[in-house]
Amino acid sequence: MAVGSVLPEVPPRRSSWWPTWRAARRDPGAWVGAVVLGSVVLVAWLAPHLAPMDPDAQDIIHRLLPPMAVRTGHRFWLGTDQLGRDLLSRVTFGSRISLLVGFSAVALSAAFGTTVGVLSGYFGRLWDDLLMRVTDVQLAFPSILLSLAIVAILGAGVRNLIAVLAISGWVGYARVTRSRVLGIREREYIEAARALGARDQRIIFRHVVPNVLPSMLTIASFSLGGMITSEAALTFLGLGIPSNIPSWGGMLTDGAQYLSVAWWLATFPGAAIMLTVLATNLIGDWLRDALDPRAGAG
Amino acid sequence: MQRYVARRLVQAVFVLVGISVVAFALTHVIGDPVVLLLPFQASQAQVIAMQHMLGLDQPLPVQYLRFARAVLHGDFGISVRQNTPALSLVLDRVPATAELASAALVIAVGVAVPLGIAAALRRRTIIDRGALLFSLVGQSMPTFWLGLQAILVFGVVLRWFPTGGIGGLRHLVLPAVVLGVFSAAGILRLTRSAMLDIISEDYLRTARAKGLREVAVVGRHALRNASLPIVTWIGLELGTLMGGAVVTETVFAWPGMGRLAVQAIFARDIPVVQAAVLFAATIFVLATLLTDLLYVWLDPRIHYS
Amino acid sequence: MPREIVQERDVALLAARGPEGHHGGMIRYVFNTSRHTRSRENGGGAMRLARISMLSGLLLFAMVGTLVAPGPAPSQAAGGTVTVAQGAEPATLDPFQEISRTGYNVTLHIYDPLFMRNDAGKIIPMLATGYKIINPTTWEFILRTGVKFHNGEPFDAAAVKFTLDRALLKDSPSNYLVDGVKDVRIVDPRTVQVTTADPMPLLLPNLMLLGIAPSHYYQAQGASYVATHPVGTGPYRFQSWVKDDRVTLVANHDYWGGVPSIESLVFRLIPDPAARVAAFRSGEADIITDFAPDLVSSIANDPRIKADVTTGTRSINIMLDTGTGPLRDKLVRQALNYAVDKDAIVKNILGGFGTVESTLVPAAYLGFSPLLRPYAYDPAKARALLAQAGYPNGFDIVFQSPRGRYLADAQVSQAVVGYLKAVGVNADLKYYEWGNFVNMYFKHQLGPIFLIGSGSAALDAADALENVSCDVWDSWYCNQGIQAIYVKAKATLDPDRRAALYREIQSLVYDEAPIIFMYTQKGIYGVNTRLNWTPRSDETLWLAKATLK
Repeated sequence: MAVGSVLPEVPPRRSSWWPTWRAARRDPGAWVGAVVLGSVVLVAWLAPHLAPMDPDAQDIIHRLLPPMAVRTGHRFWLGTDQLGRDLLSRVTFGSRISLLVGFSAVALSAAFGTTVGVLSGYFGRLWDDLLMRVTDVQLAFPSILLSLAIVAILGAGVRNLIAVLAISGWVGYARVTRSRVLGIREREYIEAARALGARDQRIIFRHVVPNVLPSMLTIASFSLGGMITSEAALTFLGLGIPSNIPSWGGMLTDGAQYLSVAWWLATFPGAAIMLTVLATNLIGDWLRDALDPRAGAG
Repeated sequence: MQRYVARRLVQAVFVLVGISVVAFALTHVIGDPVVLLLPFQASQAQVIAMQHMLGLDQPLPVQYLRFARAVLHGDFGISVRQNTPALSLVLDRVPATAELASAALVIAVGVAVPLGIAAALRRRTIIDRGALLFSLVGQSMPTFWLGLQAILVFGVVLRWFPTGGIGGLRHLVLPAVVLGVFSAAGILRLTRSAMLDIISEDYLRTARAKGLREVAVVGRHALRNASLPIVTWIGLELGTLMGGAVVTETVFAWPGMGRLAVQAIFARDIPVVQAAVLFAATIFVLATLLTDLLYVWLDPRIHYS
Repeated sequence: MPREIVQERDVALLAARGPEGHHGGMIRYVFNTSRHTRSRENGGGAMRLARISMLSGLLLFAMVGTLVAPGPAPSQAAGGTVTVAQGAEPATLDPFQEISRTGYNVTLHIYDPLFMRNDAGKIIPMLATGYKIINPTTWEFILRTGVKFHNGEPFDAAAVKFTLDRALLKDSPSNYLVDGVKDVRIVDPRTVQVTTADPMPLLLPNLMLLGIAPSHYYQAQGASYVATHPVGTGPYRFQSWVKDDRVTLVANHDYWGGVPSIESLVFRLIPDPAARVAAFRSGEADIITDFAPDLVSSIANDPRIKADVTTGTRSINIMLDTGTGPLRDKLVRQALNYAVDKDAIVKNILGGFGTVESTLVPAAYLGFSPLLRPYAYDPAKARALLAQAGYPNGFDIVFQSPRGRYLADAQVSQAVVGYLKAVGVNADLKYYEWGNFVNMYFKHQLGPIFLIGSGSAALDAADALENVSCDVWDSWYCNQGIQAIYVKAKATLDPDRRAALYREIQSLVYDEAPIIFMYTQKGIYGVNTRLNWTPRSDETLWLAKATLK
């Protein structure tokens, strides 16, 4: 996405991705984050080949086995869960759902929030007033009721959970985008484009969106971890992913009830969540530093 | 300034009306309270009789208008489930909610702001890395897990604190710390980055160049400017926490607003859901309004028209 | 009136074994509190079913007044506080409004009903000292004298009439207890006559769930006030209620049945199951209900606390919508019953805290059929039956389940889905939040397969068998032959004849298999050993007779 080369009129410092990459090479945190997140993505991709057993194969006679236990010729490296399923296989497969939920929810909320923010900031006036009041309502509305209503109407499941998370997450993008757009709306190159007869659509896609994208990416990388932990919290309230589908949040929720008798149930999915959140946050820090010139100078 | 305040107030009213409409629509969409109120042995005639008594057989717009008119007179209706005025149920929860929210926020701010400043001033040192790790761990640990873990360690094994419920200061410690850690994680990151933004500003370099001591630079100039986003965040956080921390309240059996709202939602207790949602939203709107006004005081550069 | 899928809100009390036989026109009954009880062995343990002995004629009539059963106990100095932690709190303390089991556990200490059961399951007189069945639709109750409500208001026939009339209002949640009562008439201050439209065998057990309220107080203060300021005649007075936290009661020192030994009862709400066990282990709660079976092992090394288990009365089953798809075929339904290893589920997932049942009638109910044996686990036979029915490769279907409502419900549903998959039936498991689930249930939107629990407050098979009767507005199965027997049974006062009809229905239902018959879950309580108290099989928490060591 070499935005800079396509759009020479955009100030190069904010648009070129090359310095970003160069900054990353100097930032060890970014490397750690990239390697960890890359590994998690790889594990999710190769889950069927990596998982030692079928994650759904239940064996209720061998439930709650501790890590390293050997039964029926299998070694359960991380033990078994409350239905006798291999925890290692479930953590492996769980990466798929957790990443899917996290990335999709972030992508949806970012897309929607950015659209609202751009419309609001670019067109201003009535659009701005209306859309900003909608974001106010959304922000002040207890998200739990909204989540519950959506789950009640649509039922619990992966797709609906993504919708719930996206709906409670878009406001941040809308607000930041709007303020960024307000800042660049009156810049010379936009005035120039307008003077040359460019239509709004073209200006928005050519000039405005590329300018707000870096900030959106930064927010997105920070919020990915939040999405994954929100999934766990919703599951705790009985609104999340059913536990027949392996997801880290769901496993952590189930496992939390067993803390006093089977510590491993919550510990391993919890560690997986923590690693992933750590990675995305490190990447977020790097993006923020690299894309934001002021912080970069500090 | 006055015009600004007036405009913000009008906006706030608009938001509250919007919220009441959405809350009303949602509670009616997600189901009927009557079937939850009656035992499964109840007859169809009984279900219909009760729906009629509660006015649930009226068209939705009629129900909404009736509700809105009553609310303007301060009447939120009677709880379907508890047969008590909905507003008093909500107001009953305010002390406990405020207690937990303020304690959590004090802990969060007390830990996060100094750590965030230290991390920014000593960037890329062990302090910075440590602070970052703390905030990452805080953000990635779901509160229910941390809460149950804390109950087991400090409540069951060590017996330093009660495992839950409301009481004196000892009852407050565990839930406040658990909730505080989560808030602290966000505030810490924000403080650090806000400070980083400010430290690099030219006028601070000027101040330094003029030979001002670092403490003075940080204290007088940097912190004051960095406080804008931090105050905004804390305002939002307070607004959110006053709406209730459902998960923490559930784990620690804390009689707060969040549990009331969720119980009401689970029971489809429409008047209570309405009252709780409107209350939480009002607090939230007020909190943001106050933060906006604080801006004026904190940052004389901002002018309002 | 439909089903008896009774959950937490349903009070599971032991059924009264009603009158044993008819003796011409006028039959008189009286409580015999010392003899004529029998116990019955079944499944998990001995369950004592009370019975009312019938004696004849004037002899007994004369005795009615003298049988003041529990009699004032020696008034020893009361003391101490006992804390009970439950997973839910009462919605109100109004006896007409509150019908959940957790709420009933609280209100039962404040309001006395006309009758109750003792720990052994025997019916004992409370505010009524005796009753007569004048004819199959007319009951006469003789009331205790000299009893006062906590506010000083005297208890008499007017209070009983007020209570029953109030419950009879169509918008009263406790209406289901007295639905069928036509009229309540005061004969004199200590005698009340109740007329029913049809013979109503469940009147007596249902009245055990209805606390008597003071009419003047209730009418003067209004329901909304009473909801938070209850006044009854019971062993404990209401002291305070911190909503969503605790209800505190103190001993009624003027109690007609003797002053309770424990001075103060605190009912705390601790919603999270693991946190509830933690409060129990730390000594903050003396009694906890709904102990998670998997956590029982966590208290093994602590001599100060123990887990007590009762037979339980809540039956968990998997309902099949017999009106659509492959489930219309009896062979398919039988195949599903053979496909699920219920013993393994109870043993492993419930930690043994359950009893596999042959039909949907638990052993504790009147009308349980001991001759039937649960469907065996036989996946080969299940596959054969499916093939015979024309589904050699199985089929796809939707399976719905609540989550967090019953003991390990989500895990049980998952395990069942696993077993169904093994015989080729691919069930798509969907979980629903409880309020949503109930709304779908009443709108007949659940199914084709769903898990649900049921219980009978009266412990009478009629409530369970309603699930397989016709003409209820949310029936999933209808068979005119079964329906005829069912209607007949429901109007039969004689418990033995009624039980025989219930057993007849069960044999038919067993073969028809409109349900995957599962198990009855046991009641698991945590009890601190400083208490002298054992939980009762009827799931009622009754602490008036408990003592501290």
